[in-house]
Amino acid sequence: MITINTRNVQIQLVYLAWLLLAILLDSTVLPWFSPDVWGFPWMIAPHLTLVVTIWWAVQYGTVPGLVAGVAVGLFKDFLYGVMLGPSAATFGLVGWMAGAFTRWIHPGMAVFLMMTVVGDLVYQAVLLAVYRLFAPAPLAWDWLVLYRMLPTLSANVLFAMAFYPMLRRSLRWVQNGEGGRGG
Amino acid sequence: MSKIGRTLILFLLGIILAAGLIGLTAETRTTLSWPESLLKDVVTWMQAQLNKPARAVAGLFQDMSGMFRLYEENKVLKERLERYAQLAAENEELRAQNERLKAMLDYSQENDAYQLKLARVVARDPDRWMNSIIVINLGERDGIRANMPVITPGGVIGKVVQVSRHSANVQLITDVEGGSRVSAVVQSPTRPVGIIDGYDPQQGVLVLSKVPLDEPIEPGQRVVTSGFGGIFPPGLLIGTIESVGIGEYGLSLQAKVRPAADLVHLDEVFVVVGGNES
Repeated sequence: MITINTRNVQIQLVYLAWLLLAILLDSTVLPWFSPDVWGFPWMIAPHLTLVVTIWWAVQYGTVPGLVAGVAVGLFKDFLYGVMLGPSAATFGLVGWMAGAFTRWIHPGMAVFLMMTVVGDLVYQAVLLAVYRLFAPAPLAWDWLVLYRMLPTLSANVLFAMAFYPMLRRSLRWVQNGEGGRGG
Repeated sequence: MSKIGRTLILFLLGIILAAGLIGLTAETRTTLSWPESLLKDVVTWMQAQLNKPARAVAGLFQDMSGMFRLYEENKVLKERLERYAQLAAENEELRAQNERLKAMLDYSQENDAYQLKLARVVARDPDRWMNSIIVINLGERDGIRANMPVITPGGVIGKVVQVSRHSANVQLITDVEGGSRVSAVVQSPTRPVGIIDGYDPQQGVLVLSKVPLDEPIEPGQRVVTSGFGGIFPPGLLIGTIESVGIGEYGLSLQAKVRPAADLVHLDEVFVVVGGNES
């Protein structure tokens, strides 16, 4: 359980900083490097915000994961959505799942990456259901999986792998009190 | 109560809450309250700062890949240029004729006088294949209102759906699941009207439907806004027809329309101010 003290506040600030960076990178820098911008048929959707949420959930369990997921999702809806809710519900679900899973297995890089795979798949599937439920012409599933979902999934696993050492180092830096008030 | 039962109830409650929130906010959020607006603008400002160098770097790579295509492109462009001179002459002829006819009809030009405002795209929903929303750097302060059309020199790209003080969200015409509908007219002699109400991301084409069965539409004809929807002024280019088929239930024609505007590389866009937005 999370109790309020200086250390925890510092840790949460580190998470918030990563989250802000993730939000900015997701919407500005990373989309420019999606293959479809270069004329290829594949498209990737960067989900760094989801990666950070999963990381938080893996560390702290179901309820904090759910709360963080709903909060981050709601913020994403607020930024780009005409309506509030689709991302909030989906992020919440993924956060809760990531938290629930690590109850049985000790969290580490492998678990984190595995939850990124599962979480990203769930996220894409639910969002697809929400947005494309009433689509006039249903899309070909094989195309959807090959050109949208799988590239997105692999890209986000790569992002997670690149992010993980930095996330862990920053957290350790705060936990060990280096540069902080520590003790 | 058992643990599983409690979780299940919580889960269902969550779904109901989310569905309620989606329903409540689906239509109403065209303008933001000031704290929301402030928060949004701060994030947009940061995105704008980050987007500039990102675009520069991406542009550099694109230029490099573009070099290989330059030769082919040059050949095509030269051919087009030759045709252009002829078209320009024809255009001038038609313009003169049009002006004469308009004067004869006492046509008031006020209706189609609109102004363009240049806006920069600062961010895009990362899940753009499901929710095609872009954020631009103009807002309420700059005279932007909900439902204003947004175009590029190529053609129509969408309309403003939400405004904060210094930024606005634009829904692209491809976002048909989000409710984008555009009333369009085909530039053929009979000028048949239809509705752009579908998008096929696999081929990257818009779907024009509800065109009467007996209308002679064919590939190559241009599709422009009709002005009937009350949002887009008439005559903005949407795209060209690529193929024509029979629509749902066999009661109308359905055409695939290749969008004239490039909907992937969006840097700068124009907001049409002073059209007939509500």
